[in-house]
Amino acid sequence: MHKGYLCLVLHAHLPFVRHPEEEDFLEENWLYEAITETYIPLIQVFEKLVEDHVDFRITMSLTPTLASMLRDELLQNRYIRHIDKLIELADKEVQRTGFDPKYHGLALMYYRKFVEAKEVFVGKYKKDLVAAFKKFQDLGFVEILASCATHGFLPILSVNPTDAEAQVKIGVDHYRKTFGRDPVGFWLPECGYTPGVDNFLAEAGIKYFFVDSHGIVNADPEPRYSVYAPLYCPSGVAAFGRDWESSKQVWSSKEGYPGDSDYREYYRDIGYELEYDYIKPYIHPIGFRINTGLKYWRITGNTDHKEPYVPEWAKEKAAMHAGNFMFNREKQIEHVAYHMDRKPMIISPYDAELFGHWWFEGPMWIDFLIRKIAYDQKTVKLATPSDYLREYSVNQMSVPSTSTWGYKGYNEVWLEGSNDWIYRHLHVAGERMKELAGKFSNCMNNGKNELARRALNQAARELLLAQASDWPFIMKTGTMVEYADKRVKLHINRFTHIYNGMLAGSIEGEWLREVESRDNIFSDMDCAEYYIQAKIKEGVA
Amino acid sequence: MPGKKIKLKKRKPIERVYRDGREATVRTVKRRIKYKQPVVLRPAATVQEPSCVIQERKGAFRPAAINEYELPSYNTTTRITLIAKDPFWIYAYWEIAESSIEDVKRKLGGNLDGARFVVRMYDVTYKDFNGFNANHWFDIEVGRYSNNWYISLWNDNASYLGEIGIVHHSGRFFPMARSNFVHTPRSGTSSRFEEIWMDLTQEAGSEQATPMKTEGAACFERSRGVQYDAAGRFSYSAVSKRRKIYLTEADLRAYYSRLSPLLRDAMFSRISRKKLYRYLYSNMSGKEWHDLLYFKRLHNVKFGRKIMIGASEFAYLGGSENLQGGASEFVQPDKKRKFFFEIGAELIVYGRTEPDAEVKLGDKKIDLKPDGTFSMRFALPDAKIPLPFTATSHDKVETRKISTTVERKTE
Repeated sequence: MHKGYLCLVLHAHLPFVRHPEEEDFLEENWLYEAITETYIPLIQVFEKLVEDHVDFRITMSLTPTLASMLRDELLQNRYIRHIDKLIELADKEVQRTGFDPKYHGLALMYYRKFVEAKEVFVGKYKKDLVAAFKKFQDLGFVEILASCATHGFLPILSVNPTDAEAQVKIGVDHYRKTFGRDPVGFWLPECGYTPGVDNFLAEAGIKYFFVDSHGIVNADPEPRYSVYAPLYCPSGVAAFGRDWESSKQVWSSKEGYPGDSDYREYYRDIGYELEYDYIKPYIHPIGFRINTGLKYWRITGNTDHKEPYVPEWAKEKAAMHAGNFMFNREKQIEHVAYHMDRKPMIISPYDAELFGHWWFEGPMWIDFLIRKIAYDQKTVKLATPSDYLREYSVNQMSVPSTSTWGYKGYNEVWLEGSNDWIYRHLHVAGERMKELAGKFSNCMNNGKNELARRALNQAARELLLAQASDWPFIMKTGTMVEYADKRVKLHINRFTHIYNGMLAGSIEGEWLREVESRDNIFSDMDCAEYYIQAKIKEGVA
Repeated sequence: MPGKKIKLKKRKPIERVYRDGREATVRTVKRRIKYKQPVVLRPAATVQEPSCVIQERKGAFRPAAINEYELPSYNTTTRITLIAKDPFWIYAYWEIAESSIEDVKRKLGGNLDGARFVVRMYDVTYKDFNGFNANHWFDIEVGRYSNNWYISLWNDNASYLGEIGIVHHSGRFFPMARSNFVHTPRSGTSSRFEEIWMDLTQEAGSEQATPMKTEGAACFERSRGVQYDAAGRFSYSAVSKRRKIYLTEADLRAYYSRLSPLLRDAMFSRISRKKLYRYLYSNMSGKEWHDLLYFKRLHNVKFGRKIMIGASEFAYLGGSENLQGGASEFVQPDKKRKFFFEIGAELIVYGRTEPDAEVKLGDKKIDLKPDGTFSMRFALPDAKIPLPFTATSHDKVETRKISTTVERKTE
């Protein structure tokens, strides 16, 4: 009989980037690259596992922003244009490398991958990848977590509790619409937890969420079983803590897998390497070089000289690393289980986009890991947190500590010199939204003032889009800063425009239509309703 | 206004009764006084104002109004907000309206000479702050024109509240706005390790607390690891050293009132209907202490380190060594390379024939352009590459062969 559980959590998220006003928008490539390199390979892995009758349980998030983009027709069609371009490039590469055996096989590999990606995207799932993940959830293999509406960073947003509450509740309702069921678990963006956040989750019917290791370890009172068993917050929602040992194994410099010399090098892309005129049609239309996704080299070592990638070696390594990861989990569980009166659970959360996009062999590694766990041992079993809570409904009660999974473990990544200026605007906008909600609540459902309803909803959408944790994160990391900067300013200004207009009693109809068509996230939801409800609740309290 | 005195109410005893009929004890719990923020009151949500009809302005809008990047300013209201950055730092930002300064000026007889703008920080940890009972306070002189400050603190796990105001040279303080409460995170493990366990087996809502069922003869021996009952489950009630007690809401209130004031009310609102019980360690064995210490040792792992990923790229890893959340890999800085020099070679072969002829390289057919020309581009590695071309006329009568060899040698 198995002695403990392993819970793999893949957090799939991208910020809402959609620019109908421009034909080619560089940042939209984030989505296209993630589709080709992460989401489709994961779907292919899951499909093959189901086909082979391998039992597995994976916990995944698919944030509302990502799900909205995957369901957006404009972006779907633009992805098809994108993948067609890649297929064309790969086809050219197959011919060009005809006399170079080192690269010819790689060109063929990419060609095959791109053609398959298109087949999965268009042929199999009719452009709707959300349906693919929903299918695996409905089959019982994948458990999809809800998340905040736009990946709002709750520890700082909760200065205005309404903002945090709306982020949570819109996220949960969007989940219901998208997946046709109530969510059980919740992914707190950046694992950002602060006591009190769990109350909103409880109100939304959520049963569990995740925090970083020190969120559990530093909980008050000190938990008996560290991160190996969940805690109930006083609200009754369970908090599962991330395991540092398994995280280290994937990401540490010494033991970490993705840095292996046989794995594919991310930073050498033919978009930068090949002769300019040849590659020009496949880089940015303005002419600066970008990543195409075709990368022919392996990490080789800590050197600038890169050797050609050898897929067989990489596959061998991925299998080896999956075996090593499993072995270590077995030992860890055997060790910890001895000290516990229940089976320990190891929580290993990762950004989904790290698998495939960043670590090219990642999806393959997951595939090997799942198969090995299913057939090669009896100590560890894959499970989701809801499986665990079904088995153990009595858990220790404690208050997890404020924490995030960012550098140093607190709010520093999202609150430092480069990005602290945004909170002044976010908080004021949040209060103003509440003010609008109070003043115009009677416009929402009497049908008399449709314009006011639309304006109110759009104000809420602009506020939500400005709150994404991705913008301060990008400002901190220092690349693409200009874009993140613009996005925050844009949404704050669009919000303020509506706010001023409504207080003055008039809105430009054309302007509103244009803004609605651009920032069309949650266009089928009455986002303002959540602020009105919160406002009413506050009035009662 | 902050200067106003709030009366402290008398302590009121709250009775605590154990549900399983054990002795009743009486303890006192201090009543909390709701502190009201000194902010302008806003109309209640239910008030319906006639002004809520929004007119549509027809006609073209200013295109610039869609993409506007000039941020609004809010300097008509004086306000201050605190955000905890980590256990030892708080970030404060504020706005000061001219009118607030004028107010203070009036109170001082129109003279602000020698007055200093300060942020006064109150440590209100475990306090029901009424304006006068802070554990301690300190001032940070910030000047008239700054609008934010990172404030360093001595200890973690503390509650703070700040006021932006003016200190007269006489030492009198004139606050202009008061901030939200903020509670800094704990930087280490909690010193409390008493345990409360929550049972969510049954639907919340049933008031009757029922003990956990156990079947068969179960025994519990820590020295031999884990024991399960006949049904294969670990048995709780068999733990002889622990007693199961059902807690009342008052118990929990008392218990959690030791937490941050920010949390208390929010927490109590929903726990009363949950079934809770506590294990008391009346006689903890050495082995159990050992177990606790074992987990304590695990806690001593240092979080946050800088590690290397990929060939030469640093990623800052957080509390538990992942990239910092989000779409991290998309925003990695471009790779900075040192001086380098590389050479690649490509080969372009082109030719022409009748547009309807068939051209082959080896045995692979080549597509001709409509005018009968063709052009091929190859990567040229260090090798000797033979290129045998054959052209056959449309009627298959004539055939021409051209073989050429290219060699690349890098030294």
